[in-house]
Amino acid sequence: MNPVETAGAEILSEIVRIVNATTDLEERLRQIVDLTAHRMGQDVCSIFLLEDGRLVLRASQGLNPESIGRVSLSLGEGLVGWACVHRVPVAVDNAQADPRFKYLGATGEERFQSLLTVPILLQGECIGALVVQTLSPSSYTSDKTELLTTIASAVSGVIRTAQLYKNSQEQLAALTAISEISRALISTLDLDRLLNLIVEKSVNLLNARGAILRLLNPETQTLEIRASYGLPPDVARSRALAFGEGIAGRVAVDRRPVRIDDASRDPLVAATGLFKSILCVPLVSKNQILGTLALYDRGGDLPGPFNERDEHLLVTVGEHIAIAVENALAHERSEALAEESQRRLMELSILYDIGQAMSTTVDLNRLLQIILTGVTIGGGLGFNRAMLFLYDDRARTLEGVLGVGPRDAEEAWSIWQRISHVQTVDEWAKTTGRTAEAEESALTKLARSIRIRVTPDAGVLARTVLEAVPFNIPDALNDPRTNPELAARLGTNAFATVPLIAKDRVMGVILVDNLFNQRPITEDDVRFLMLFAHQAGRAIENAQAVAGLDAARKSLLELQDRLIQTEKMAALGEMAASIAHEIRNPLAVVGGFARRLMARLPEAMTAERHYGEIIVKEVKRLEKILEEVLAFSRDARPDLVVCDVASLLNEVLSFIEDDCRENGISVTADFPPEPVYALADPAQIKQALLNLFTNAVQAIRRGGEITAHLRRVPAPEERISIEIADTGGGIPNDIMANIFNPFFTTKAAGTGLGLAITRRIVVDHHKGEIEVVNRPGEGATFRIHLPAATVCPLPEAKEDAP
Amino acid sequence: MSAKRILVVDDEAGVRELYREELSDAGYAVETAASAREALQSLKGSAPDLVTVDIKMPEEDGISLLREIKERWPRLPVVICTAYPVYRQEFGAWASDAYVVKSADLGELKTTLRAILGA
Repeated sequence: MNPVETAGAEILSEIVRIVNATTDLEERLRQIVDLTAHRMGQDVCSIFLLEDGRLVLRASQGLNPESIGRVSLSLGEGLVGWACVHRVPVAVDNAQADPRFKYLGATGEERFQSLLTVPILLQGECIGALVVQTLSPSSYTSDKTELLTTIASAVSGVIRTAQLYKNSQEQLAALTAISEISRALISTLDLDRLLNLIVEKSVNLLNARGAILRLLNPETQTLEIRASYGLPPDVARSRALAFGEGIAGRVAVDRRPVRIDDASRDPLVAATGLFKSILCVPLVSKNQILGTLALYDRGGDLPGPFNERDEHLLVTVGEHIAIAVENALAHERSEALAEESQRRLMELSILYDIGQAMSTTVDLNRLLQIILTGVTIGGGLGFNRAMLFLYDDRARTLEGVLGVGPRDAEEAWSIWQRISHVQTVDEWAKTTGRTAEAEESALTKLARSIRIRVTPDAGVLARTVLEAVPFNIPDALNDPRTNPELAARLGTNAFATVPLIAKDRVMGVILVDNLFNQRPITEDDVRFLMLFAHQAGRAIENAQAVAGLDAARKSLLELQDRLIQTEKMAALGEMAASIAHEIRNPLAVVGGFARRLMARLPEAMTAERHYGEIIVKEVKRLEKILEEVLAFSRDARPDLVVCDVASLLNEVLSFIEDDCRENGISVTADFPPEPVYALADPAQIKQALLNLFTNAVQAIRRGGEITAHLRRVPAPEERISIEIADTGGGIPNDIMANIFNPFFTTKAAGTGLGLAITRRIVVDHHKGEIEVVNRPGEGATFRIHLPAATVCPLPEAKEDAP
Repeated sequence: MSAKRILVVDDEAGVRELYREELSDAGYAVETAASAREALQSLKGSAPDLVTVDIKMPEEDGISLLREIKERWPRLPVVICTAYPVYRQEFGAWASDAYVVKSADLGELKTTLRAILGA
């Protein structure tokens, strides 16, 4: 081994020791220049390193220490620069005499005479130069040049190691930053908190001075600012960007990062005048663009524009961010779903509560009030006011029946204060029984003043019925669907209507508004109200069914009453009949012998004859009474045959003829010339008619007129009409209702059975009708209708007649 | 021409008495019976020209008696004479020859008898 090799080997082993002793590049270089100067017997040893195209003095033994890091040469400048450009060692004995020499004032190098410099090469590239100098002139042998070249290659190795170390340090820092961000990203699922964390951590990572995170709103397809850092509030709240608009818009479309030094290209940021450089990356997850993250202006120890390493780092972090944002969005969606289920559960529980309240009554008025209260109470649907209209589908009208809600804002306030402690509608229903309050409310009066004909052009209320769909009217004045008069009467500009439906039939409409708190009615509100209206519709239907049952029950009870009454009368009739029979025999005997007695009394015994006459007359009257009582008994079944009513009437008229003549009563008979046939029991009909005529005679007493009309009313009525009118002064109004009652009489000596029997014969036995036209002060007209016989009597019957 | 004979069947003595006197005065030969049994005994002796029967009588009533008479003496006229006007349709047209409601005024009965007996 020659001396150079030996010296070289020693120096190299020293350098290895230096490298192992310290990790700091500056310190290593300082020790290397110390070592080299000392071992090679030089006054100066320096290292220049190429940084950004200039050779910067990085270490020196012998030159002014102040100049380290401050002094530099361009490539080709001075002997050092020349050596670097030509990649060859340069040795000059008298440096200042060499035209290539460049005097560097700050270093104090003018004192040095000779100079040897070799380029430091790394993988074929020149990365700097190693220089030695002496005060006294000296000549550099090739040995010394060779030795310095060897040291230069060792320095190259040191620098290479340092670069690798620095790179790995930087990578470690980036990984640490990423892991820190990742930790932050998984620390929350709350989207807003996450987005704020993202901008904060990203700003820290790149030492940026500002950041904007935008997310894509899938509905509007715009990029909305969701989080920002270091920006004034007006910028942070600025409008969303469309796809392709601005830098963020372009990044979102291209899905590639953008790094620019001139922020004036982003008008939003340029307007603030705050930032110069921008780095914007897309946030992409599962191949979907979620948004963008933009950072502004690098600060910290390396201020200025963002570099490639920053971009790479932010892109890497951006992938993690995108996943975290995606997760948070998914979480938010599931939260929204959970909230939705919660809301539906709430709705169901409200419906259940109101349902419970509704089930407490079948009284329709009370039910309607519960329904409207359910619509307005805080624990229910929570509208300010509600009105209920019922639909009459026969008349095709919709009529307000009830209103629930405060009269004005003041009353609204006091009511809300009062009921704030009431939890549910059910509780309300149990604690309140004031139907009357709602009955008399101003809103009820308002509701009842509204009555509309349901036609397609009559406005929203009518259409709610006809189309069976809800209407939400946010601005009644400018809504062509509404009738301006309705909105004016309601005093509101926003309202909603829903149909009350039961079994596919619209039975009414509920109208709601929020007049007092002006809360807009949402589609969700309407949907819920619709659900409720279905329930309410069924309840109303039930109540109406119950009301129908109730009415049916009442009429059954009445019918039962009447039957009992009839039974009583029948029992009375039977009893009367049996008594009548018992009396009849002895009466006939008494009367019979009285007549015999009369026949035997001589004319002269006038007083005795008078007594006898009285007995005979009284017996006659008693027998007549018995006749009527017995006729009223139920066994008098009709024996229906085809008979001529005209001849029956004539027979009856002949019975009363004498009576009428005696009392100055004229009788007019107005009968058609041909027979008028009816299917009737002749004896019963005669009895019925006789009763009417007898009544007429008794009503007139003396001097008057009885008119009998008979006519046949042709098909479709197909009946016989008999009218008996008198001039007997009519029937007092107060007894009109009683005249057909059995045993009702105005006569001193009457059974009160005459009209009752007549009615029984006509109505019960002949399915006919009887009516009275009373003319108080003048007279009365009794009109009997009997079904006409559609066939004539058999010819044999006529032949049999005498 | 001898007087037509009439048998009056009635459980009430007053009625029998009244009918006997009234119908005798009207020129009939009147016999009476207080029950269906008495009436049948009397009929077995010598048949009258006409019988009047009351419906409501103790023991055998007038309806059974009417059937029995019509069975054994089909040509003998029977007139129902009763206080019950309601059976007029049922019995008047069915088995008896006439149906007369009892009254103090015996005019209707006498008219009926004359119509049947032609006297």
